[in-house]
Amino acid sequence: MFAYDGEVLTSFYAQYNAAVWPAQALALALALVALWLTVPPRRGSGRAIGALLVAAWLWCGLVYFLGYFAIYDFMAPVYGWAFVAEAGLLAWVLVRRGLPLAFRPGLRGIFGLGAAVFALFGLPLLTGLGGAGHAAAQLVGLAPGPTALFTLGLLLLAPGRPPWLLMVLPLAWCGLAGVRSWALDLPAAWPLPILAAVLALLALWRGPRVP
Amino acid sequence: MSVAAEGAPITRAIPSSGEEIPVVGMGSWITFNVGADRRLRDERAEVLREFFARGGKVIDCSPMYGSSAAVIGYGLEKLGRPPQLFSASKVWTWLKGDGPEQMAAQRAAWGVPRFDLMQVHNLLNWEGHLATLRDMKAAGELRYLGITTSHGRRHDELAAVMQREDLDVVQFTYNILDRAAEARLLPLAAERGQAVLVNRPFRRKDLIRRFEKHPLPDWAAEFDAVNWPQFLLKFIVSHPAVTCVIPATSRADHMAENMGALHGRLPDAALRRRMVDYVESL
Repeated sequence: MFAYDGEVLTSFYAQYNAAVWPAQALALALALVALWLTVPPRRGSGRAIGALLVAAWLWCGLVYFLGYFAIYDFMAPVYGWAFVAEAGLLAWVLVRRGLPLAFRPGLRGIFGLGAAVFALFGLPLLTGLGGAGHAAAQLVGLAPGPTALFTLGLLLLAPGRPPWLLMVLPLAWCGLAGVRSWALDLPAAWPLPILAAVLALLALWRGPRVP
Repeated sequence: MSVAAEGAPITRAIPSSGEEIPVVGMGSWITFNVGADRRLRDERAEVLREFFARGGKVIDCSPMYGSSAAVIGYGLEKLGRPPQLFSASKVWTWLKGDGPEQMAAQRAAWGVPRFDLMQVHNLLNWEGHLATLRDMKAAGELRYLGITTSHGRRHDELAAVMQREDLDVVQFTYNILDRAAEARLLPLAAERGQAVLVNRPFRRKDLIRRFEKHPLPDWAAEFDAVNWPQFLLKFIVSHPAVTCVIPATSRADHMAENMGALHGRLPDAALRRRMVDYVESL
């Protein structure tokens, strides 16, 4: 099903991280800014977070998939343009329409923010435990898996009805990443589909809503 | 390192020319798609070295296999361009007009002036690409043309093409558990004078993993198989309509095991039946 094996994917991340250095520092800083904007709620934070997410999805689509990963996988252009499309949707809903994203006490808030924090720190730690070490760590804004989970976590902070239109592609990528991690025997990515499923269930949950 | 009985390598003729090729070649799906990683490229070059040292010739690739073509080209360059190479690749694009450019890119990646064999991959736009391949063959830009599928569900379509078109080579899946090709494709290839390349001989690694925990039967010695890969490969190449099987591996020691199937005796019909009964009992 996949045109490469786990050793090659790990090797790819090590080479990719080396090639884009020092983008990691900027990506980490911008992701921290996005988290900071959610607590406490601030006016216009949705637009600012949206702009950061748009940049992350554009980078993953254009730089990661179309630029670097395309030589490994004939599906890379499909994934790349899907990520660009998601960036377009995020720009439309978050930046143009200004959907607010802010932490509010409750299950959605806790799990949403928790998933985003895990994507920012936990996934790089786990993916950096493999044979190539921290050099192969996958980071929010630069790698699709952490970016998708980070996005899902922040979208869960939206008030009222979940923005399903924006959640479809991140959920799909987390599912695909889960299948791939199982097929390639890369357990570091197993939390992705599990957490994505939990976030989707929370999004479906019609419990107490914040007005 | 376990190798079957040495001796002259077993070869089969390509019916359309009479050219003899060794019955064990090499595929490259997944195994050679290692990108630019120098260490992994060097490891794959050692796989190629083992392949040629043990009598191999036929290497098969596809533009679908990511960086495999470039990695093969790297290995060939490192080995000094072994003259015995029989290069086989594929054209895999929806548009007929994109085929020549894609094939040129494959030639550049391999570093070869022309391919010995060019195949239409997975029947994709086969009518358009076969026309291109016929023109290229007539112009001396390739030696053989063919068509492939690795999907069992497309055997009917492949059979129709085999029946209708003049093909030098056909490629499809055949192994000790996937024997659907015995009913129609293999007899049809023999009848039509088409060479047969066999892919997925181990269902990727599935058959090795499934059987390696069981003992190799004593009677495998009757056809000089000393390990499971040789057992499985000799089953395939002992079918009289098979020309060459193309297992893929990323390891030089596994290549050595595979190439052992190039030597010694092959099972006869009775032994083939016994092989099937044995693996189906496991």
